[in-house]
Amino acid sequence: MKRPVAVVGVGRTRCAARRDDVSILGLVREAVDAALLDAGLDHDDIDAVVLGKAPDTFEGVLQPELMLADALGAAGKPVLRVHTAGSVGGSAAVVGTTLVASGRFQRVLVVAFEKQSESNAMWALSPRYPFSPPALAGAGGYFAPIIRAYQQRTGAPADTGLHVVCKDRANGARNPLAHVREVPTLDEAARSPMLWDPVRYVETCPSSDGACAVILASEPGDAPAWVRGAAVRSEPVIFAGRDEITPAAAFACARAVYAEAGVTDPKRQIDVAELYVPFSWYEPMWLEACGLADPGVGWRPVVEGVTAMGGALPVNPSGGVLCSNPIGASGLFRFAEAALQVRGRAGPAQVDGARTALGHAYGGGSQFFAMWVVGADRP
Amino acid sequence: MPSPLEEPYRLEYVYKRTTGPVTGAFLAGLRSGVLLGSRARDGRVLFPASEVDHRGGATVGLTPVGPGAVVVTAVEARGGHPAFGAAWWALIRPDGADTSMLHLVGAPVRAGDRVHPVWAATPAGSIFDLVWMPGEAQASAATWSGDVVTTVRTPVGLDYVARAGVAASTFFRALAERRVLGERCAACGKVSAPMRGGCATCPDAAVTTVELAHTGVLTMFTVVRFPFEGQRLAPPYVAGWILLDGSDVPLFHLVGGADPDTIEVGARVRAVWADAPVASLEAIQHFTPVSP
Repeated sequence: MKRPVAVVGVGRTRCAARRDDVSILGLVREAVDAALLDAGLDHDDIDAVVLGKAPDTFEGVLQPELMLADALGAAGKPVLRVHTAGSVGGSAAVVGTTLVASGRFQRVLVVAFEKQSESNAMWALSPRYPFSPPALAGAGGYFAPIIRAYQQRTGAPADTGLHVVCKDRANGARNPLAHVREVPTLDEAARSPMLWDPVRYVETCPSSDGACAVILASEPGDAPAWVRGAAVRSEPVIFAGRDEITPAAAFACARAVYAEAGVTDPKRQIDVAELYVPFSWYEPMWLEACGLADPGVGWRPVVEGVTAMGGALPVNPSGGVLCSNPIGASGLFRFAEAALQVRGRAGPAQVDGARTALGHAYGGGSQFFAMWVVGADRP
Repeated sequence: MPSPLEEPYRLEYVYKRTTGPVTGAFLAGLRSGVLLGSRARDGRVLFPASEVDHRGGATVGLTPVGPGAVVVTAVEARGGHPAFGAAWWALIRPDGADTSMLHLVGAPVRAGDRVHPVWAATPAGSIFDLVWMPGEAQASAATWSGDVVTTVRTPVGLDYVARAGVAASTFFRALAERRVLGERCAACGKVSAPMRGGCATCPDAAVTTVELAHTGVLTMFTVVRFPFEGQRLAPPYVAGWILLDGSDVPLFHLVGGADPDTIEVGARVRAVWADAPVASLEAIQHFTPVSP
């Protein structure tokens, strides 16, 4: 990076199926005000604003960055809208990092939100495009075939996904901001209805209202998380020879972020990871892509409890996407939670002694990837 | 060459919008026949009432404005208004407010004209409770009780024309003749279908059209076992990726005539053609397993 970048403020809203106490503006401001308070800054201190959210069809507000400019205190400042589907919160954080690292801006506000209760994600993600068969069935309809193929290729134990759910829900139950906070037993999870076979209801992220904001700065505040590396990578959703189970862009993004962060042995050097896991089986898959497990055996640390709180590599101590999924904000929540870990401010999710943390997000048809490595130590 | 295929495509939804405390009060005010503004920290009165000033700060209270108002600027509304016929879009600033809102006036107006609110006979707590007409307002005894409209339904509909493009139109038209075409890349040699006029990984390479088999392999699939909004098939049904013999890119489609509980990855399948010859992937009704 051209110059160091620190996360100096983090703001997160409570997530819920429907935040009917706030408008979209109010939801976004809740996160922004919390981030400014955390950083000890005011809107006047912010030089540029980056807004991330997923498809505009979720709220039916086209170009929400225009509607939200006042609420973001963005009047008279550069405003940038980022859109990379589910990974957008992470991509927005990487864009914000780049703006500060470039030397152009001192302090950048990165905001991401989704108010999914304004519509219905299954409707919004299953359009009946002309010339196509009526085969689309939401995000699960896209990812379930890939999960089935992963199961078949690796021979992973059939209950691997259920282990992920029970672990993330136990973490979410400790997170007062989480949307879903019930903790099923393994047996209860196994009896959950099948939605997109082999993905059960309990293994599926909720639809949430929520927002997240981070403030990135060139000078550290009280308790900075230093951005050690930040990367985005993408690939076409369909091309000859594509392996959807191990997308090349997922691995390329990990290589890039680790190279910049000086991470040569992620299994040992990453203390805690917030991975984008909207369907349970994506934990083992992304553990492999992120170099946190060996290829084909990402299920092993899951079933052995390595990724649980108290394990050698806790994954999603916040409860992750399986407990709260305001889609456009879910990536930024991952990045923010990673920053809170190395600042020692993760509350009930805090992993003792976390010095280096990974934030990760993916989106679209496993085609957009965003990652950052944050550390307690100045680079 | 026949022109590329086009098809109308309408995207519509009735959004359930939460209003929050301030816009919710503004809408409840409309229901009561009261125009509400909000006070900014710098003393200005913002209309319509807003949660925030223009610098991200919260406003500090609600205040009635109007009912008399002035037109800041106006333009005739193209297409008029369903209820009024001819209508004018105007920026309208009520007396006592420092900012203006865009709204409809049911008669010709221009900048500087005085206008007054006309209220709906059966107000619903909606922006449609209000229109404006030229002339001075009568004094109003209406009061807002402090209630809030928490949710509004917002229908949104967008009309598109989906254009398939030259290569995809050739592909879809061939399907209507029960032929499956693909494209072979001159650089990497891979065959892709549906046709798109180029190779996804070799952007500069030429492609040639090839004919593909109607049989292939089910590479990945799910069984959709639940109903959802907008669904067009009765669950359970199988949707998945079919790699046609001779192609290197799988097609996403439905698999019919299969037992969802026993079908497996790697199953051999063949196209079942729809009765009607349509220029669309719907020319294939679904794929179905072939006995080995």
